[in-house]
Amino acid sequence: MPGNQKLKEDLINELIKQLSRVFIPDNTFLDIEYTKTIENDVTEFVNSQIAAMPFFLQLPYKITLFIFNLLSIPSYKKPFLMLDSKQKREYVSSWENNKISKIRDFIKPIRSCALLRYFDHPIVLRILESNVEALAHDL
Amino acid sequence: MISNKYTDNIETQVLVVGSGAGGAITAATLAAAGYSVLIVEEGPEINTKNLATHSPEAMQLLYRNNGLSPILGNTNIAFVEGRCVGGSTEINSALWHRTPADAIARWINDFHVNALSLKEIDSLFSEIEAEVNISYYNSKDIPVNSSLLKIGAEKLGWCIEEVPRAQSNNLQLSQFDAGTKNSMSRTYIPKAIAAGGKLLPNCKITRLHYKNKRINSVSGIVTKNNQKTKVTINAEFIFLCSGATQTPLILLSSNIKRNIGNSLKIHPMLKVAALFDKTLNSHKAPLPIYQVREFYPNITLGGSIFTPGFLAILLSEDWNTNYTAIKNWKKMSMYYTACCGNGAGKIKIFPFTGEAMLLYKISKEDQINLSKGLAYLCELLFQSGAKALYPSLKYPTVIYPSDNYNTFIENPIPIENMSLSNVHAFSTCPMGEKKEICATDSFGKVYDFENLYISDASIIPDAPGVNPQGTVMALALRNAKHFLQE
Repeated sequence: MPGNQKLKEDLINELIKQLSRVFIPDNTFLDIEYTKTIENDVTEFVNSQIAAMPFFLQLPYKITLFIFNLLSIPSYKKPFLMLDSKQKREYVSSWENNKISKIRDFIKPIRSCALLRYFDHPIVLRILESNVEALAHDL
Repeated sequence: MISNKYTDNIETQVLVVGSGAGGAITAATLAAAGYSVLIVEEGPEINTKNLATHSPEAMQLLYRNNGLSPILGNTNIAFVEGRCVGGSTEINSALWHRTPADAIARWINDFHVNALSLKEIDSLFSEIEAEVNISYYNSKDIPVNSSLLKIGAEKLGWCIEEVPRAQSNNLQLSQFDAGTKNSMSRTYIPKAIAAGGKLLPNCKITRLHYKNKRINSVSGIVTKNNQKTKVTINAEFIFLCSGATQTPLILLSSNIKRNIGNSLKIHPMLKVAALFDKTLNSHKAPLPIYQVREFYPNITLGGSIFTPGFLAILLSEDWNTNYTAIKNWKKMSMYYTACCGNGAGKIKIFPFTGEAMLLYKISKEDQINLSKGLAYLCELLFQSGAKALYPSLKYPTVIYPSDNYNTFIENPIPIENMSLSNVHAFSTCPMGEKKEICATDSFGKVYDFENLYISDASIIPDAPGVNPQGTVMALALRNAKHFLQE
């Protein structure tokens, strides 16, 4: 893969990873190993879901991801990837609650895939079954 | 990269494109009659015996575009369909309805479908039902999430019925019915193969080649070990059974356009999560088995698949406010209202990539029916004891018993406020003798062609208002029998 292309792919992957993490709980009730496993599984799932979109949707979606990263600059003086987690949540929330439904729709695929993979993950399901209070702490 | 070096040529008498509800029964019927039959399927052959059909893993293996194939329009609608051996019968809930009499009457009147009668359709259904083992929930212990729907409907005096499934007898396993659903990969495909038919998975048909009203050959691409190879198939007869999105795509890509792809119909659906004050464990229960038929054909109410993941997706319409509700997931269940869509839909080819673009405009009537349906569902679930409802709306994202949800009846919910989904697509190549609106004759034979047929959900003339697997199979069997008589 040419260098530029690789950089773009890496940036897309990082954006998807960071955006996915905005929606999933902090997992303070889990061992660090489990946390890593779940977060990696969520990122991998969301990435492969976005990659499976029809190409005519995937290309504009990825372009919008770049724009999304940069549009935080007027408000926070930093791109999305450089924001702290609280700022990330605020910024994503401004997209999720936008009056224009097409802007809200941009967040939906990543949010839905991240939540599906997280809450239907075998480790999380096991914890939900046995100790929902632990998870509730992180919610 | 597609290899040109290894171009295969295949000869067969009958080519069946697609292995779902329409393709499998067509192949089995024609193979049993002595034809040499080849079934080609775009997706892979997956053993679904131990696979939960709504799990993230299954989405990646069995669903087209991993389940991300939205229908675009005045609001985007989430849409899923199968892309594997067995097609959508591998991922659906196997709920089984006979074609309603009013739908048949409409198809005869509005589309001039010839020689179609309720008696004939019922006889075809009886034949199929014996094969796929249509069965009811045969336990005294009705799953709690289902009984709640029934309690509410009975209190309101609304008509409610148990919907049977194409499934082996043990309906008390998980809601995913892993290994127990009588999908096409377990019924008609083995039957076709036993009768001498052949199956070629991972083969995407891209174009039909024709001259003087006859299809001479069919081009496709076979994927094996990540290698793509061109394939040419020569067949005397071609049956397109790739479903309502892919059959028109193949035809339009081949420049066959007469009434193709411009009349997509769907059953738009709005989901609701309901919170009760007792433990339901909906994730362990079979799919809710009842449907409220009080408002048929316009509106249906029923139960939906439930996992914490699907619940989280629904609650995420306003995740900042609703995320804490997931703590109560064991006391929750999911339901839906669906309408018999009458909006205008289309299948178009996206330039350069050749992919199918699904377009559908929710009509004013759809909007009114979905809004009314939500009001009815709220009424029913509160009668059943629900404490709070979380609809898939941008606003309101939670409804309590004291709220005036009946305003949805007089003031329909704005379309852009709805988060809709859909699992049924049809009518993209309607059948009938009314040539100005139909793509095929009354038995699926494509107009202007001698050897090209369609036997899938595309030919269903309009939205039937019920789960369409049975109708697809009955019409495909009817077409195959007519072909044999011819």
